[in-house]
Amino acid sequence: MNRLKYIISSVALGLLGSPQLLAQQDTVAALRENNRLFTDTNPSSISIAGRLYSKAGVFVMDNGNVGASPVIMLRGTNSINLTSSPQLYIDGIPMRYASVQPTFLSTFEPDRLGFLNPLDVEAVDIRPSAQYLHKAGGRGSNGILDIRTERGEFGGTKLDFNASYGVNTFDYHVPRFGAQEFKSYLWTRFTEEGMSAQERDVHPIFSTTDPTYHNNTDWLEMIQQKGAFQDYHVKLKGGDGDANYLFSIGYTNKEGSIKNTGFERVGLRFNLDYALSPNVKIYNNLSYTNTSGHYKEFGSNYAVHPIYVAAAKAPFLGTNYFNENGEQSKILAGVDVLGFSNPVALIENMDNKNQFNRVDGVMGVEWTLPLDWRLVSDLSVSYFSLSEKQYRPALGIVPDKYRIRQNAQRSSSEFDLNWNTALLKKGQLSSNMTYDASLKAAIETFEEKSLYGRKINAGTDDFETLAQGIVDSASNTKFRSNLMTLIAQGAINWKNRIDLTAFVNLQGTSNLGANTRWNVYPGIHALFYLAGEKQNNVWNMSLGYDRTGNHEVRGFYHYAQYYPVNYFGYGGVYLGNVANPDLKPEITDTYEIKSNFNLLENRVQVNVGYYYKRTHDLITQQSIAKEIGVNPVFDNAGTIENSGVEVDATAYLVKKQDWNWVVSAAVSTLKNKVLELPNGAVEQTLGLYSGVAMEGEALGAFYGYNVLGVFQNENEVNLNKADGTPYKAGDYRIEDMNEDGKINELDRQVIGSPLPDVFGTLSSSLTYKNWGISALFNFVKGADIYNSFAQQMHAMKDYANQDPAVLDRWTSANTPGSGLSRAAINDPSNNGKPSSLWVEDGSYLKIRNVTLHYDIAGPSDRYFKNIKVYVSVDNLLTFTNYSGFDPEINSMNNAMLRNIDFGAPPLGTTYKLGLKASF
Amino acid sequence: MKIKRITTYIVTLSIAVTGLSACSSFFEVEPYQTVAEDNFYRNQEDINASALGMYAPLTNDVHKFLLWGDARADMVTTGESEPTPYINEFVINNVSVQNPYADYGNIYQTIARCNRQMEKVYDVMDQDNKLLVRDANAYYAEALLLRTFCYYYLLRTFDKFPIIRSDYAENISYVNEEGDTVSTKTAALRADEIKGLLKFPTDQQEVWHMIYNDALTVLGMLPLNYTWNRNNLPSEERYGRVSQPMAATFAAEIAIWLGEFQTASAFCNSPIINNFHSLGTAGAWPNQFTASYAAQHSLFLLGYRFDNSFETNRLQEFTSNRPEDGGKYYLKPSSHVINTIFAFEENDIRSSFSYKVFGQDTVIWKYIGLDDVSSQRPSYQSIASWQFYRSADAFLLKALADLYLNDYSSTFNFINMLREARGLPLLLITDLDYTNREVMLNVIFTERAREFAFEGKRWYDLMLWSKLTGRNILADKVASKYSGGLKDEIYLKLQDQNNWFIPVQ
Repeated sequence: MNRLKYIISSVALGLLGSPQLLAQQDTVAALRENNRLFTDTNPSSISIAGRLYSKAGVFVMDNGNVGASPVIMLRGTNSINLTSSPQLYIDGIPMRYASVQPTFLSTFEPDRLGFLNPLDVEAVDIRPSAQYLHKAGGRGSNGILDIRTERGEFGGTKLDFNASYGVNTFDYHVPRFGAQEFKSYLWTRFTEEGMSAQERDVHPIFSTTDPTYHNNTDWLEMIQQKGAFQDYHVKLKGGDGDANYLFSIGYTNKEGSIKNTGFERVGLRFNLDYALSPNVKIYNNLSYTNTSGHYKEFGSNYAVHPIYVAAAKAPFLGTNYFNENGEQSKILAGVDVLGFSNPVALIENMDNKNQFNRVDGVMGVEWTLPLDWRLVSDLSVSYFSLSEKQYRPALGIVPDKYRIRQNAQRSSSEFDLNWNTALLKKGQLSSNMTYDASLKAAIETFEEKSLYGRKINAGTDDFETLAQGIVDSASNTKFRSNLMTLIAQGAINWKNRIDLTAFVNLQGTSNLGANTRWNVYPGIHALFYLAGEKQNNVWNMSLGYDRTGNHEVRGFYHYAQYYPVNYFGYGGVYLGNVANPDLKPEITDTYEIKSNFNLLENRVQVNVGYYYKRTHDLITQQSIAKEIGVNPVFDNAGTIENSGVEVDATAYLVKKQDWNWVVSAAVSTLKNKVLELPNGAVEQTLGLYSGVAMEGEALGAFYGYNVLGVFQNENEVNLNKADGTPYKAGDYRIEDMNEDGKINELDRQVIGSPLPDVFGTLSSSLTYKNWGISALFNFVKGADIYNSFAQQMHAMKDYANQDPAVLDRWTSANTPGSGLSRAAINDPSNNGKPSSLWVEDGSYLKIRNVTLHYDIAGPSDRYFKNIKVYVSVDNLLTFTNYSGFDPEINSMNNAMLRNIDFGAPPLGTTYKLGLKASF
Repeated sequence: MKIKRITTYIVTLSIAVTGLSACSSFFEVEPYQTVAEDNFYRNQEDINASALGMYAPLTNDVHKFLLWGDARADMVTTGESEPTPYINEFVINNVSVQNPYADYGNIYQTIARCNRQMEKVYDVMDQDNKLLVRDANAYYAEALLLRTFCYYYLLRTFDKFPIIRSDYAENISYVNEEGDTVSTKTAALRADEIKGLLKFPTDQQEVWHMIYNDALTVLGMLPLNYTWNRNNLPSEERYGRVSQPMAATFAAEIAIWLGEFQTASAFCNSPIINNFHSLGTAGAWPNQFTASYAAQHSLFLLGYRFDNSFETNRLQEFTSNRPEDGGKYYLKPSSHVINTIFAFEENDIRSSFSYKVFGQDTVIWKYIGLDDVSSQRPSYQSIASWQFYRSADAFLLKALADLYLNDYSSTFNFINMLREARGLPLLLITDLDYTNREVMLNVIFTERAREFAFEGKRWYDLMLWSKLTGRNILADKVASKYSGGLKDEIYLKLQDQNNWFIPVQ
């Protein structure tokens, strides 16, 4: 007992504090932020998402579809109909990570964090639940990324200049037929489809003379490029104690590995801290960013997907028309005889672009009052606008139904005004006990607007404008939301041995009706110092509980609402929503236990934790009898749980004058399960593919058919199609779940899960004198990928170029092939249904980054302080069994539709040369 | 002193916060793209808008009407060499409960909107004093008639369906075990509980009488000739919404099903003598399909407008054989129909416009053609109107009713009126045994088949024909579409009248 007392009383003072403070201290994040340990703080990713790979407990999946949003996940997914991405705070300004608006172009979600230059960022604090950030409340159930930008600091003016230049490469290799092989494949296909020998002989593509059909074009080669990466950043910092400032200006330009894709950013930031008097300090932020992006359809619309079309296009065709003399003209070739677009036209002429403009301003005051009272108040304003454009000319591009040409534009904007006030007090309750308490209030108003218009079939391809053509669709939406937050928080510390924090967050939102708009989000956290001496060799343990919610409901479902509808060109109206005045936020309860060890004089730090997260009152649609004839009401029904172990460790293996070596690693597990869905399973579809939320399964599991094999001959066919007519030999044999001899929707089952079982990271940083080398690895295990691109390359439903594996398809009972179905135009037996054949294991281990750096210390005359030169490689190597471009795919943020690979550009390898000069 | 100052801060802060939270308008944000209940059903425009909204769900279902009424019957078969399963279920008369095309959900949406309209219409009079009783009556009758028409469709198509005659969107009223009428929030009930409370008719006769009575009720309430609330309706709305002449034709048809031939014959007079409706001319006949309506011809149809509102149906997809137009060629005319119904008489505009032969493919032309030669609708612009009733209905129903009233000359005359209007030579009394009911039934139903080919009516005509004669003509005719073992199998299956109806889960 005495021994224990001794240990407890010798706990270091410096490690005390609220959980927020601990969050910064007890992870290795703080160490890694330190430039010395990890040189390449500027990976070639455009947003800070690239920096999160090295963080414990964060799942990141970036992609090479430059400008598209990476997937970020903290402690699993927990919503079917609302967002499953973390909430962001950037210097206190709230922002959703994933947009609520429908995408402008199929599956392309612009990266909303792209506006923030990673070089402006001081720290990204991972707040997985409300005990780490009390204001989380109704937006905290997916965790929070709390981002702080750099501020000025006391001392002389310091100028940092960062420059890096690199090349982003990926060698697109899609197995497919060459020109001659493809011709003979087509010959067989035409024959199988019943084309007579005469018809075939006169078919133009088999002409022996027509130069149009005698090329050997590597279409993939035509559309790819080595993309340049450029990043320049100037930072001016300084201060005299009364006024500290930071001014930065940055320019980033990243080209994609497909021609005419890329991202460009120009931003500037001015952060000022000013002491008006010893007791009154003001702080200001002002920043402006403009980004622009060019991208292509790399999603579900394969007809204009440049990579798919380049893979599927006949190699014997050429890029340009051949005139009557057999000479190649300057005019791009049009849509070919097999129905495919010209990939060059998709790359050169079809254009999608977007532009973000964002202005953030914060003005705050911190007033130190007598008796350890403090008053902090700030007002922030943020304006975020996004304009998106699509231009789709006719030449060389297949029409979209009746739309031969298209021009579409969307302008959307978000405005957020946020006022926060906090009154804080700390003091001594008794000789053994200190306290720390605060009252906080915040009021926020948010407005989002969007205007969309599409005009089609302008007279020529020349007009990239809405001035010509006929209106195809137009819409105008607006959403407003007001939020009020009141927080009371108190913490007591007993003899520096036990630290107890409790808080309650009372939040009211206009998204919900009067009955349910106010919600309480409490939390409690206790920290026990079990062993340790001074600041070193500490062992502590903490327990926490908190409640967060998800109240981002936008449909105003508490009102009975009439929706507009057209009939015969006239405006009709119908009851579209029956009021549910009792609709509540989705509620998440998080329980966690953590332990932290600092060993060997803090040379080794280990954190071990376990969390259990239970989300209930999921907002789902009631299953209503269809005879009632109204849309089903949204109500609160459903439970999901997420749990996992989070371990991370940092070890200072060598700490000497010349040699320093730090290694750190983090591993997280994830178990996600839908426990209850009283309203029944929920399905969401994207093209042919479906994701499902189903009791007992992981959220967003792949939902499809299990293929058992191919019917080798007619006698083997023992299953019927939905209508009761038999399948044919060569069709896939599907597992008949309900054993009724008939394959229909009832025979679908869960065929995979997009969520990882384990993921983690390992980094090492070794320095010798002025030299240093660092490496970062990360891995993901157990996440499945639905490889839609591969399915498309084996579909044989049209005359697309295919994977040569299709030669080994079923062609007759005598040549039953090795597992691929028969080929048939338009796929009458629906062999292309979503099936287990195309689900692959997306596990991987990646060498995420390797950097070699050299420091040149400034000469004695102090002309410059330090120059660091480095070479670095991003995504050097990937170890995986996944057959697609990369197991890190461009996935939707929607938890129900993750990990469907449509063959978007992968990250590729970026070789980079960089310089950081401090003056 | 300092404590006091701090206390003042706290108090000020609390007051500020409480003040803001008390201001409830901070939280009362109204939806932008929709209209909240409080702001709706206030005036006649609101009623009119929700009246138009009643028709919208049906416009999404016309391809189903084609499947229900034609794909199952003898005049239509599959166009694909390997048919799409859920389409083929109709063609081979083996419809499963999972079949998405057998889903009657949209019909019930229309029923629900009609019920709501009927319950709200008279309340609006309190708020809009320009709205007179007769105007409100007209809107009420429109909703009642459309609802009745929906039940008429359900009754002849499905083996089981509930009757809902009041607005159940928010609350369901039912009689509990104690015999009291109670009202429960719909949202508080599970789907299976709701199903348990719904009233399923005990027999078909009950529904027949319900729809007959409702049809009779509206006849007196609807204004004649499109003077809706003292305003003339624009022409699309005249035909795109139910009307008094449609109600009379509809009532006549029900009366024939019920064997009330005298009444049926009388009801037919109303649309027949109406100046706005006639058999029209042969030249204008295709306009019913190529244009959104044809004056004189049209009575009630579902219309689509492509320009600006981009409303389309799936008829082009179902009947066109051109993939570049979005055609899937799911359905085509069955070959023996071409020979027995159309081909034997020349110069019939209906024969040259209802179907076409292109090489190997015979196509249903009504919904894709723009003339009777070869011009077609633009790709993906499937906006041919779906005809529910036309003037020709009234003439042929009149002929049918009079046949059963033994007024053979009248029957003969009405058939000839139609033939004349379509450019065909008149039938002569000397050519056929016009007092033979069986013979004349065959003439009438064949004439109907030609006039209304591929308009989703054939199956129901065969049902009526069987009912009138007491012989299973449906099974005979439908089986003739098939060959081999399937022919006998389906013939046997359709001998049981229960198999005439689509099963419901």
